[in-house]
Amino acid sequence: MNKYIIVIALFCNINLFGQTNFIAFDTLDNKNYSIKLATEFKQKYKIINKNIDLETSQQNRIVKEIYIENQKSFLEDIEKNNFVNDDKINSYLQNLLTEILSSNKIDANHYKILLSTDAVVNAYNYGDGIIVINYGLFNAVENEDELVFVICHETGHQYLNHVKKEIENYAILSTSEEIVKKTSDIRRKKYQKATLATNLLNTIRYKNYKKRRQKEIEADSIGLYFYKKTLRNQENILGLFKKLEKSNIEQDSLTIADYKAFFEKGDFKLKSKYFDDDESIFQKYDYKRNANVDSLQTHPDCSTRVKLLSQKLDLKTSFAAKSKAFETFKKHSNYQNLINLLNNKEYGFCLYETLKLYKNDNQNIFLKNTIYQNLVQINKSKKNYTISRFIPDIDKTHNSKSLNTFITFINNIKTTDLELITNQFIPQK
Amino acid sequence: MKLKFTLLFVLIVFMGNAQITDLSKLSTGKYYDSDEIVDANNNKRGYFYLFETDKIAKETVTLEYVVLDENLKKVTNGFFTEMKFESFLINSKKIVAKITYNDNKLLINLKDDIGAGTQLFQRYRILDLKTNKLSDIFLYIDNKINLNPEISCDFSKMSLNSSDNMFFYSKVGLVGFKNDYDKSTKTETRHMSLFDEKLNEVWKNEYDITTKKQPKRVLNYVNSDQGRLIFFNEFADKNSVATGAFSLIFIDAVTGKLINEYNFTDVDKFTYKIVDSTIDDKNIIIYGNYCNYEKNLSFNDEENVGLFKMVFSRNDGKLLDYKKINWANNFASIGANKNSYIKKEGYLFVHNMLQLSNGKTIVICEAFKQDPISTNNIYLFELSSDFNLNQVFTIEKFRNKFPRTFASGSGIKQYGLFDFIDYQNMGDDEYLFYLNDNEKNSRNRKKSTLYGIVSYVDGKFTRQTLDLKTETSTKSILPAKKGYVLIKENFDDNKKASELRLEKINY
Repeated sequence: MNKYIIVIALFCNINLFGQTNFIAFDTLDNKNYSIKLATEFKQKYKIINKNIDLETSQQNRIVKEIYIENQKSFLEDIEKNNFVNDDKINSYLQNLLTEILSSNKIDANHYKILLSTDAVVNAYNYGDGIIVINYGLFNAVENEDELVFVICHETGHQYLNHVKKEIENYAILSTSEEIVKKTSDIRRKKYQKATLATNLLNTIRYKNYKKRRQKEIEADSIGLYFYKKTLRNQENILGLFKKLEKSNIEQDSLTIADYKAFFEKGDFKLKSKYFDDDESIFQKYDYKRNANVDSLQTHPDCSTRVKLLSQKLDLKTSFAAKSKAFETFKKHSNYQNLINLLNNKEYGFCLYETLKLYKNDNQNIFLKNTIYQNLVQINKSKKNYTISRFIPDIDKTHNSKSLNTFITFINNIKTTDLELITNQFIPQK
Repeated sequence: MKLKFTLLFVLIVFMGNAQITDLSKLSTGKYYDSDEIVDANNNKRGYFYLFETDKIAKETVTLEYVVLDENLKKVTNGFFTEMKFESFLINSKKIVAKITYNDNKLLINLKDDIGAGTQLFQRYRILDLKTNKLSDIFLYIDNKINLNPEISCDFSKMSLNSSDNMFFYSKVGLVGFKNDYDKSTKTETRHMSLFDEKLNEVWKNEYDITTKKQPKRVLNYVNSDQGRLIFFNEFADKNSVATGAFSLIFIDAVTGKLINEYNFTDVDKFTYKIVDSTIDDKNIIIYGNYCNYEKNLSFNDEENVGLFKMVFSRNDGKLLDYKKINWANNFASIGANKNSYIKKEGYLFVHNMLQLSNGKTIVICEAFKQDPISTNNIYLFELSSDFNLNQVFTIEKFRNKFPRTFASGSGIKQYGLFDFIDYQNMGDDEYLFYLNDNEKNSRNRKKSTLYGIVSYVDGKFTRQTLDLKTETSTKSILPAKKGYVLIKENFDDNKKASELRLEKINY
């Protein structure tokens, strides 16, 4: 199945994307790349796991368990071909990382940067020198400097060994005399065992999350230090945070009139009930886990981070950098993200994002073809009752109204009508 | 996928330790009970779950409730303290919750379950879905509601610690029922009362005052709306044995006054049961099934005679129209005899009778045998507005046998042994019907297990089947929100996590 989609995607690159000058990443070699990556990391993990050296064997065991769990998850990501194998963009990102590391005289051998196909606006430090940039980040950043600061921040986490320390602290804390005694006291109680245990757990969690927020600020701080050494424009850092703060607001939306404009051709009309969702009896969503939610946020808010960083910025010494390579990647990041979504079988989300672009560019062959490919898959999965695997769920608290309407439409449309609109997008030879 | 999408907006993060978030976990507590939140139109609007999170003192527990919406998203949760019965010999195993919905509120009926089908200490709470606030506990005792009473788990004081029955009636509100016995006059008074949002009594209706020798009214709720409250009454003697007389009671839901009591005719010949009903601006339509009368017997499946439709004036509760259709002569095409008996299949149990806007009726029946219990083909009938048979749609399915069992049709329905599961009204006279087509407790079935869905659209029945066993997984399916089924798919590959997903029915 995966190969089939990849083949279609490639076919489209060559034959249909010409109009947009967009060439999607060559993903055919991903399998070999994945095997190579997996082999490399398995060897690395063997050494790491051998060298765990805390005070007690119990602590070592806890750390090892967490390491193995994390490593397993990372290897699964590799196995799923989640990392882009493209020399150009990988070299480009590696050069940015090298620029940061060499400017700061850090040994580059301990670091590796990977590009994930994930469309989520995100980047993270996996520990063990791995920095992962999600392709979705290209949609959010506007210039290379912003991207470099993100890498600096993640490098900061790695440089300060946050992941390793957090795991070790967890092992030390959970085997500490104080916690062992408190746990044993609770065990001896006749009543209120669960309440006392929850309170203890929340105290540990609170401390933990508080520490995490502190670590984010530390990573910002050292990230800025690294960034300054690259002599890049410091003003762009503030711009980055402003964009991230707004990134939870959907920039565009689709109306019922848009769907009619997309799909109503000739005598074919969309039924109004395709957009109807029964009104929920629930008006207030306030589910809370058994803890103070505010205290469990792992990240300080953007305004706090901007405020702290502003005090340290030196705007005079900066110069504006222009990068042709960045501009090329950025230019087609929307399209590449659509291809990534399609390859990751996120057909609903991919179709939704494609339609938003198509609304303002309805002659675009790449977009038409992407709509077609998604509709074909959606049609197929609707027929065999697996559609919910490939489209987001209706969610009245997290989704935009526009996205919920899209999901309702996809769910409600009869398969015969879906086939009709799919046929409207069959690629022309 | 949703998780990923919500994370779309998360800022730059770094991976911490193995933080495992199991979203399917609703509570850290011990599971007690759950119930569907269903509206008056038989639509599933959400789900209610109850957990014990802690034991905080003797006979006192902290419970957590969690409410999910129709899309299985968490809406709200909360904690409250409840008593839980404990004694030297008998302990309450759990606290069970039954949920009824009306006008943005959930009535939560809580009982201690001591096992073997015995439930004690009935009490209530109301969850207001506008504010998500849970009321204090209340009991309806001695004709008044006691809010936040001191509850004692003492068997000897059971009557002081267990509420009389209360119900949320659709578009009417909270109604409580009480029997009072007056020793001086030796009369028993049965009455119902409506309570407002503040739990104050709005009206009281004394629907029965009898001595021990007189037959008493036993009411079963039929339907309601803002203005009407309708009950089916089966008269019973002092030993609660049905006398064979029946009536329909129409009450003004605003004032509580009796509008009319319609007494069924020919009660010396027939026994009646109500299957479904509808109320509109002008009429109240009652659908039912009737059988030949036999003394001291409630509905006799083997003497099933036919179906009836009564139309009453909403205004005064007077009978406007009464139509019957008998199995004899009319249903020969399916091989049914005068008592609905079909060779090798058994008698017909009537699950539902659904009114269409054009006056037609859809009837859902399932053939069954009582001894031992076996459930057979399902039949969907379309009756004309004149109550004549228009068309039959036969759903041939696997015959389910339950060796060494015996039950009446109502008993089989109560214990969930029929294969017909439920229907969904899709509006515009479109319906979906759900059924199981797999042998229960089977060791020798060659056919694969199936889940059946029948649609009724533009006057046409169409059947589709979903295979519950695939090459890589096994599925279980339940009707969910309107037009959807909830599919739980367990994969043969142990490494692959089970999936729980809502899928829209194609029809």
